[in-house]
Amino acid sequence: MSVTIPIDVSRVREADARALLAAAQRGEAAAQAALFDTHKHRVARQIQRMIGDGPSVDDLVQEVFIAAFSALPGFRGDAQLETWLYTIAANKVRNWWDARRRREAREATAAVQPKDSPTTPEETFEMSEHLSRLYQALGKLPDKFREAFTARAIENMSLQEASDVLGVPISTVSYRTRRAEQMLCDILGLEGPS
Amino acid sequence: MKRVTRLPNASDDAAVLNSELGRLVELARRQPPPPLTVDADRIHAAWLERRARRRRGLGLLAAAALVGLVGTSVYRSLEQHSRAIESVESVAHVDRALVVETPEPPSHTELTRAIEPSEAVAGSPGPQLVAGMRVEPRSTDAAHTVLGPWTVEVAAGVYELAAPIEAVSSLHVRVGGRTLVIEPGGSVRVDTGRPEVDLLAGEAAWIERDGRRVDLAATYDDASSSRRAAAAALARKAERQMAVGDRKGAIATYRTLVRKYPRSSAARAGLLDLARLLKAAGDSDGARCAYTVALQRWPNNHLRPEIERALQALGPGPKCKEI
Repeated sequence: MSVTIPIDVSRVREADARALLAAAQRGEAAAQAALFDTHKHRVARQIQRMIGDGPSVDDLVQEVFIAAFSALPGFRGDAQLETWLYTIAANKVRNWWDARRRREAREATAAVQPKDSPTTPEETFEMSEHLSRLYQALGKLPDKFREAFTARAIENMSLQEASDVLGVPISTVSYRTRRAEQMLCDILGLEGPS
Repeated sequence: MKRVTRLPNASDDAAVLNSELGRLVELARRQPPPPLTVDADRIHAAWLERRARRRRGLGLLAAAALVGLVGTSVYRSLEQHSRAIESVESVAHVDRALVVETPEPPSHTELTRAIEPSEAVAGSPGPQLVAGMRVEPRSTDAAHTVLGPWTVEVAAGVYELAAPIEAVSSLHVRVGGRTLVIEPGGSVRVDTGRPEVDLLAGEAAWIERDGRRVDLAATYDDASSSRRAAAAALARKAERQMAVGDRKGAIATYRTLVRKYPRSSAARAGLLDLARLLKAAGDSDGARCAYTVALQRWPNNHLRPEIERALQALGPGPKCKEI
């Protein structure tokens, strides 16, 4: 008589993930590559939504993963790896906004300008213009308000999720999102939220 | 009456209320994914290089410390017999080398807002603060130096400092080797003769030498009752505890808040934060209880859909006896 022993697939996957993490913490190239391949697209999308500047995403993704692998030995696993990576990305993006503001102050030019694109379809150009306006306005917000608004509105996180990644209470996330919206409406010349 | 179209979100508590802004946000969400050229090999190589640089830096530091010890003993023995100017210079040079610039932790960036000479207005005698930043001396021995558009150093005396709400950056105040960051809308009173500063309005935080951010507790009178003020003080204490990773302490403080001041507005938000902390600590029953009490006390809470979803995710459990 044969006996079927049920395998808890989720436990096996969890054990694999822990082993991969441990190998990456030891600096093994293959393990780092596997983690990178698993998370790169999500991190890239998140960064793109935070900055709206496509060409800079590549560099920032590289910076995030280099910083992550450097800090990985200290990662205790008490937060999700995705949450931890988001925090690192948010800090790198904060640096990016700082540098961009300083550059704009020196050069007094808009940072995001459509390149000469005579063949760009009108709809794509208009979308690019709108996005440019939004991200110019986002760049003028204080970091905390911008991060809360990006997490809630653009990343579409729930209050709980945003609270987890930003490391602040739910009430603070809610307050900062609302304030950010008010400030964005002022900057963009929109009628404020009711 | 203005009609507001809400941008759908996971809950009824929409993140964006303004419909025009919502359309821009929707565009941002729908951006096509960016092409990625970076690959794992390049990242691994860069990580190896950074690790090697740090190890070299530690090696240089160890060598500098050794030279410093040797140099100091040579200086002391020479000083007993004669004056050696060159030894003093070499010891001073080594002493400076012993000041460690620790790598900036990845979790904090505000110290990178270094002042660049190019930011100074051309033709002006020196750096000037951005318009609207308030630096007001309140004592006769007050002395300060403007280091850049957003940075000022207070050397002595009493000051009231403030950043306007519309400022795009916070005001950085260097006091006694630490940096105080005043957020837009915030104002503080600094007395260099005291270690504490008074938060008069808004938000401000100390940036410690190791890069940690420690938020200031408000000392201003918000014209509320003493009970409400006490409840708010407990909420801020819990937030400070969370900021330094003291989850156990934060849970205890929130429990005290919701028991002592059950109907306060601080308790309304505090119950949700308590639930979140209890869930993170593995106490599902406690988290369920906190969410349940929040719904019972404030049935019309605008976060009701979020709370109900959180309760659903926790699943059924024993009846809540106490927080």
